[in-house]
Amino acid sequence: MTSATYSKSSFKQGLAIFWWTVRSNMPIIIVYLAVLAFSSLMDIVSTMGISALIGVYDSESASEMLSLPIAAATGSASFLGMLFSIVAAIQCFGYLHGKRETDMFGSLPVSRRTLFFSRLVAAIAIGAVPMLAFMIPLNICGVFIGGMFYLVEIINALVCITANVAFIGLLSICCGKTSDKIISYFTLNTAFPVAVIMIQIMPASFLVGYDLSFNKHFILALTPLLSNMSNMPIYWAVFSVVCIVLCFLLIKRRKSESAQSHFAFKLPHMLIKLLASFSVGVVAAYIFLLSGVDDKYKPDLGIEYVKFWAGMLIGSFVAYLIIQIILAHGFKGFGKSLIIYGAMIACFGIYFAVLATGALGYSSYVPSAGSVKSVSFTDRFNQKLLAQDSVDDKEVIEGAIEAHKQIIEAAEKEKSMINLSGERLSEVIVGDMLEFFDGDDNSFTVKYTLKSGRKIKRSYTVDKPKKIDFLNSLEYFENYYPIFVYDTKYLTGGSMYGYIDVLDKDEDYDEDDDWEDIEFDREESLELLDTLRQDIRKYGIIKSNSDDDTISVQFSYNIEDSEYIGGYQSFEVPPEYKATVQLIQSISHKD
Amino acid sequence: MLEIKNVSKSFGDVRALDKLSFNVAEGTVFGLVGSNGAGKSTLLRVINGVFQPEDGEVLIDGENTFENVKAKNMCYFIPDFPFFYNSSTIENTAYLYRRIYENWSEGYFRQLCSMFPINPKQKVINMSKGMQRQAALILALATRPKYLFLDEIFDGLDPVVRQLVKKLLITNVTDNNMTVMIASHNLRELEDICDHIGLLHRGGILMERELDDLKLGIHKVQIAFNEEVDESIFNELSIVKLSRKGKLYNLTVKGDADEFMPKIEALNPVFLESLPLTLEEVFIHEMEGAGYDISNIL
Repeated sequence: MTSATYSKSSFKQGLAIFWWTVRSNMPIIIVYLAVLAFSSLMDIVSTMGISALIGVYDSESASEMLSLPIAAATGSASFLGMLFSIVAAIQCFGYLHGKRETDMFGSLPVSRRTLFFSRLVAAIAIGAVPMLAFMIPLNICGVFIGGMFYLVEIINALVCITANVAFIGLLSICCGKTSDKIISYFTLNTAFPVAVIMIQIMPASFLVGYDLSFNKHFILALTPLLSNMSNMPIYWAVFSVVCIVLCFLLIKRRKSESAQSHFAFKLPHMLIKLLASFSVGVVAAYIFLLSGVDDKYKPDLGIEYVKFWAGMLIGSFVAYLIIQIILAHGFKGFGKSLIIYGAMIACFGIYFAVLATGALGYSSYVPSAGSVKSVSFTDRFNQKLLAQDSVDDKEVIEGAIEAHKQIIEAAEKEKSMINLSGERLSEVIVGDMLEFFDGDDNSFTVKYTLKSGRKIKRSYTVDKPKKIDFLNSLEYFENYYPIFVYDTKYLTGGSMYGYIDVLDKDEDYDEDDDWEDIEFDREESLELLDTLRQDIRKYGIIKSNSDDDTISVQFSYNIEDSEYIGGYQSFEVPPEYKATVQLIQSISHKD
Repeated sequence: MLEIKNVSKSFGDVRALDKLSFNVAEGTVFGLVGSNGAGKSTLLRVINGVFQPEDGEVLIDGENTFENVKAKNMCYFIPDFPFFYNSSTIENTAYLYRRIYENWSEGYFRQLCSMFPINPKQKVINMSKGMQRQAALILALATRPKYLFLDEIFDGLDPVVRQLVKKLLITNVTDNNMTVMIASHNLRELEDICDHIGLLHRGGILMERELDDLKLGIHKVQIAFNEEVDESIFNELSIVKLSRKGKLYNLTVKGDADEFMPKIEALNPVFLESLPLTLEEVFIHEMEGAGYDISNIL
């Protein structure tokens, strides 16, 4: 006789569904294990082969010899883990998208939450357990060789798997069909970063002095597909928790009849359409903008605006139409949804208008001398490295502000939406993503620290403007050039090269025989540095147009325990610095 | 008892169930019939907690079924297209059910596996439509449900298996007081097994009655006279349909045969025969009465 009571706990039910799901996915697990074994073997063999070829084994210790194959195999296992967890998640949450599956699972005596989360844990386990079976032995060896980094790698891989499964779980709840879920997952993973990058690029096309940089966290915020490469385990852990909480809240509100039909919730549907439409639109806008641009291009802001908007409207509307046809399987509701599209274009128009009109004075703003506490001024035409990032000397601040105004004036004359070279863009994107680029590779970069504590940074990619007095002033050199600023206690020695004995242009010299390359000790360096500083103060900065009549001097600093960032500082000594030249020649003759 | 109280369910603009109400007593076999799109499958899904009704409620032994594990444990639903994964066998599906259903009977499961001509270790997806239904039925009965809901269960079954299925259902109803609700267009099979019939039309219940009452309440009468008679002589009878071929009259008469037969006999026919209608004929008459355009379809 049927019992009218029910004693099985949710945990027991969940466990039963978990194991049954894992068993049902055994074919995927077998393929996954085979791919893992093959790839690990190939990684180890290939990296050991390459290491042998390039001679790593001749010079490195045994542990360093092993670290390369372990790192390669670990990386592959981690990538495959994420890939197969995506496949497993698509499979495991498929029960929400088929009418027949919905009949079966919906009528089981199991709550929706228990069912969903059992399948979620199963998808994570299918992705993680085979990966861990390979990673743990490898990474335990790695911990002994390379430290805790390898342990963090395991945690990172697990977090990436969880983030992807939770994200797909959330999309599964929102979508009606498996095809919609897959399309939404890949659309969000591509459209969102593109949209964010384009939003961040746009100010650089409009605003003179805009310091272009990218926020990696923002770009990857909805891109779990790249989580494996992002090295942001804490963010992805938080992301996973947010997705899981949303799943917990939404799974009970999802109507089963959405299966094999429309989106269960309208907001994600609309968001995906808008994101895809926006990102394609802005990319198309830039493609239109750059069409017909060559070496002879003369900027015309009016034409540039028209080209930009034509690209934006055509690209975004076509993308919107296509994604509508794909996700809604036709034009049902298309007319109404155009209101949302129109709202997006209107918002973009406001953003465009704000940027095109100088973003409320952003471009022309220069702080008053009285409000500035310190300033940093990088002139890439002359100096790649500043000795110090913050100078609070009043004359320097005033000089910097004046120079800044001159640069703005020069930059405004060249103003065009096409002021961002592809090379510069790739430097910034790659640099910011990999976190080694400081974004300071512009022609000029000015950084103010105001007395209020606010920091202002402007960067300019302009052709060399007319002579700017401040950048040739003694104040500038004495405050920013390492040969003036670095403490001589760190000086260890130096070297010089050039046509040392034939600086007098009356004498003939032989290109090969007269070229000299000399090293000198700390005492000689100290004397040379002192003499050079005196010559600079006496004659100012002199730039020679020829390499033949200058001598390159390089001072070496031991900066390990200092705040300085460059251990070798070079200076081109022109013939006009007579005392310095004489000293160089006497050191040369002495040797 | 199964109580359906004022249940409504819509899909977009389509009203699938419209304030539907009726009860099904325990230990009965309830046949759910109706035109295509009448809401039979939707009703079964609502009862089993697959769909949530917008209005009203479904109670099983006083418990609401939606998201109610205890109530759903007493039920089993075999939809018109039972679902099995590509790798599913009866055995590995039983692995889940024996851990989920409180009343799973391993002995009965083994017994059922031996009764049906089916290999429990074979992949279900490779089986024929009829065998897939058999697989679903084995699993369903092994859960020992108090309420069994079947959608087009006879579809695809061969005559021998159909008899076996009916026998098993009746045995469970009589021995275990199981309640069965079968939605089907196969009225001939329902006629054999059901003791109650509910006729759905456009999301509402057109009528719900005991099968015997239903069949005994309407009759097909053949009458022959020596000479042609005026049809007005039948005015005293509650005639649903009248057709004539010469001196032979075919009547469909509503009411108790014991009441209307003496009235016809009083007209001195040379031949008189009264037959109960088949369920199919009752269905057609009722649907016609509900405005179903049968003349255009048939």
